[in-house]
Amino acid sequence: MRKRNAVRAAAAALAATMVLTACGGGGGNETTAAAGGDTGSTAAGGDAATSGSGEVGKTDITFAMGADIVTLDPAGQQDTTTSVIIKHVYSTLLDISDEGELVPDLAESYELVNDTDFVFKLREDAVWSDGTPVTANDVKFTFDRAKNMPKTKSNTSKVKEVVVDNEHQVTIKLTEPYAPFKSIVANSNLSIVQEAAVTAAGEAYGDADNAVGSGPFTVKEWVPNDHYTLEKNANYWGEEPITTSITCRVIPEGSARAIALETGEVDLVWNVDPTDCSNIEANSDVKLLSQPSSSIEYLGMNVTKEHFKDQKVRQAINYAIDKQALVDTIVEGRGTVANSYINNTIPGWTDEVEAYPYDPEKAKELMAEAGYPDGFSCQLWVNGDVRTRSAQMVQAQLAEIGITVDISTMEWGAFLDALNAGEHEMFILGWSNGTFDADGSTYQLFHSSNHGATGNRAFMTDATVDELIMKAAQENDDAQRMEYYKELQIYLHDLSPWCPFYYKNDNVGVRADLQGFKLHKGASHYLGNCHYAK
Amino acid sequence: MSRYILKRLVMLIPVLIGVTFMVYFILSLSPGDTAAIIAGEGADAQTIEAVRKDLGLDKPVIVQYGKYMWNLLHGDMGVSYSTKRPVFTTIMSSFPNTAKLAFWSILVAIAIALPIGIISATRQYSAVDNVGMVAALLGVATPNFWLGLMLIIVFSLNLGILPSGGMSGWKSYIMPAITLGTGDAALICRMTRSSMLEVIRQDYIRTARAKGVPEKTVIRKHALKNALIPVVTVIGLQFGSLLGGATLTETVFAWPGVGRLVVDSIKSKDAPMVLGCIVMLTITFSVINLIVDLLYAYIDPRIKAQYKKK
Repeated sequence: MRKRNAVRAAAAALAATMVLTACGGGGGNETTAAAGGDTGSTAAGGDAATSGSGEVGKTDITFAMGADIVTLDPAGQQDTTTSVIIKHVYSTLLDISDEGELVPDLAESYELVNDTDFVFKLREDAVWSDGTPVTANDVKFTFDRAKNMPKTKSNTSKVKEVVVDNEHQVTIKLTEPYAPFKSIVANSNLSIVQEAAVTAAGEAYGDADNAVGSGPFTVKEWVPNDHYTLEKNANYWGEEPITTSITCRVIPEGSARAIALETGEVDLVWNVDPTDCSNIEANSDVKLLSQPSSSIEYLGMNVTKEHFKDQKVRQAINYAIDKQALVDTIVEGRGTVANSYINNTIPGWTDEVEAYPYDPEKAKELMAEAGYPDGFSCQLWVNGDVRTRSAQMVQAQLAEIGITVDISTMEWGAFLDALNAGEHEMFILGWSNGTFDADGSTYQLFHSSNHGATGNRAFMTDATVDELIMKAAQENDDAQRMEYYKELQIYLHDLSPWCPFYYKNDNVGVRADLQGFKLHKGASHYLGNCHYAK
Repeated sequence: MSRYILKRLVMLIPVLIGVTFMVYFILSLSPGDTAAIIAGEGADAQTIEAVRKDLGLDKPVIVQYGKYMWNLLHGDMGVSYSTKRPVFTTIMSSFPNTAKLAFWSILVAIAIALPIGIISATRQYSAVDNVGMVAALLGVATPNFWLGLMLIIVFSLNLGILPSGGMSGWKSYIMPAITLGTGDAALICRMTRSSMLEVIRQDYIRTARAKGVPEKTVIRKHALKNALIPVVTVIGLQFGSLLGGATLTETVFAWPGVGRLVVDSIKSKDAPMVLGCIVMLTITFSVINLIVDLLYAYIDPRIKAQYKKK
């Protein structure tokens, strides 16, 4: 299926395409993997938070999401939709704060006793929603189990063993020095589960009637494909939430989701489609909160293919694409041109590289130097409606330097299959860093051991890149680590396996009078303080 | 009669085998690796292989199919690949929602279509007929997701009198039922009109009129009853397909129905779930067809007489 025609016309036509995308688009589109994941094609800048003050009125909150959760078992999920509820129901050893800092959660402190051993000291007052204490045995059980579950395996691959020191202390021994580990334990899929509950439920663990967590909320009910309701956990050991109940309604269609917010049927909507953002901004009853996320949108090039082996060609493509135009058109300004390969919200990002400026003349020179003064023809593979529009812009811009781009839009499963097999020349995809550690933006994507499905879809094999990634991962001194990442980014920028487009914004629509909501830098927003004034 | 019903129900078995076989093979031929999708992002080859083995996907497709059918015979539809929940309970949580919506939609369709169809036929080429037929044409041509969104904009956003989506109370049925009903109404309306037109020109209608039967009675008793057979067939078929779920309408109105379930399952290559839904739909569709056929007997005494002869 080829689409060459330019899109965007009347509101109705737009609404129509959105519905179709919702129905025929990518299934796994919004995944945030263990240490990152390919992301769906929606999203769009500003910054805001709703602050709370005064007397508390309504405290039961309803929000809307585009998809249902898949399970209540932390280890059985890695998508952003499910991780939201997991974060409210469970606790992790450490957590990432709204500002993106690593903070204590179940573990009140941790210490790296030698290069490979982390000692986590658990809070003694932490209890499960059934009132029993959270013990070191539960932590050990969680990690041992995670090593054997498909979706948590990559997060625990460096774990050698978990030793219970006493009831409230564990030592996690790693196979090698691995600095990103402390961020990884904050991932929702490594939320601590109760040994007794998981053992009792067996394979069926993860339903509303058997899930036991130690987070601020418990699951009251889950009606698949319709809604789920969370209630305040009376036994919660941490700061008591203001919100008494949270209901999430599944509203698959983007415009319908925005309308539900405008009519007041829901108090919050996540992942507002770029096309609906302006409607929300125009309505004074509601407001749009938008801030940079940890997702990047990019054009990848398969460096093993004839034309793309040449670094000059890849650089030429970087010069030929007008990234600002993509930001202005595709996400309607709600995003930032990506200067590097790591998101600007993540520690390790450097401002010492500059995005390739839009310079078709320079691009043509590079093409001529590479031996393609008249350009060449190549394939660009995409999935989804939004990325197809990006592809059309890329097609038009590359035509100016003589590259004839043939766009193929594919269904998500087929698309991933084709990319993983390395059959592609160019592709457009997104990546979301789920760990908030620079390793999550580099190892899977560029290390030579991760070709294909694991994430390196540019099929890069470069000794310097591999070395810098490994050095950074194994360096326990943070300052030195950041130096490595800086070096890596400068090197990657020159190598240009991608043309990074933009850092996406996270867009959340809220009722104008809603209080206590704050955007989380990693899009893992906490709803426990949402309320209305009396 | 009961023998006939039994025969028809037995016929369901080969239909089910045929349908499941086709769906199973089409799914296995479609691109995308199920094990890779289930294993999730960033899984290495080893993990993917382990998942494949765990789900039995390493076996030949025909073996997988055989195993599926064997379990199905024992009433076991299996568990979903992606959610690990039993397929049957998941379908049973969505199907009633679809059925309720289908019922109200077809009612809307009939309420609109029959009167307009009859009036159009009896007053062929009148203004009513022309307007009715143009409306029917528009009804067929309007994509229902567009109509759905327009209704939401007018009645939820601008007027604020109906909920924009979800399934909560009688009010939430109105817009989805109208959205689905109007499309079907158009079809039923045109069928009613043409069928009525054919009957009205029959000799027995002329005879009835000639002997002085009032026009109302001619239309209601003599013409309509005879014209209804193809109309009932169309209504039956439409109702059957409504029970299959209306993905677009369900998506627009956030309706937790079986249409969305099927499409989501296809996207995640969740074969047990897709097959479960297909089996369910095949059975309901066949049963509806049977009911329609049985209805003929009540509408047309000639058909009833045929059954009796046997």
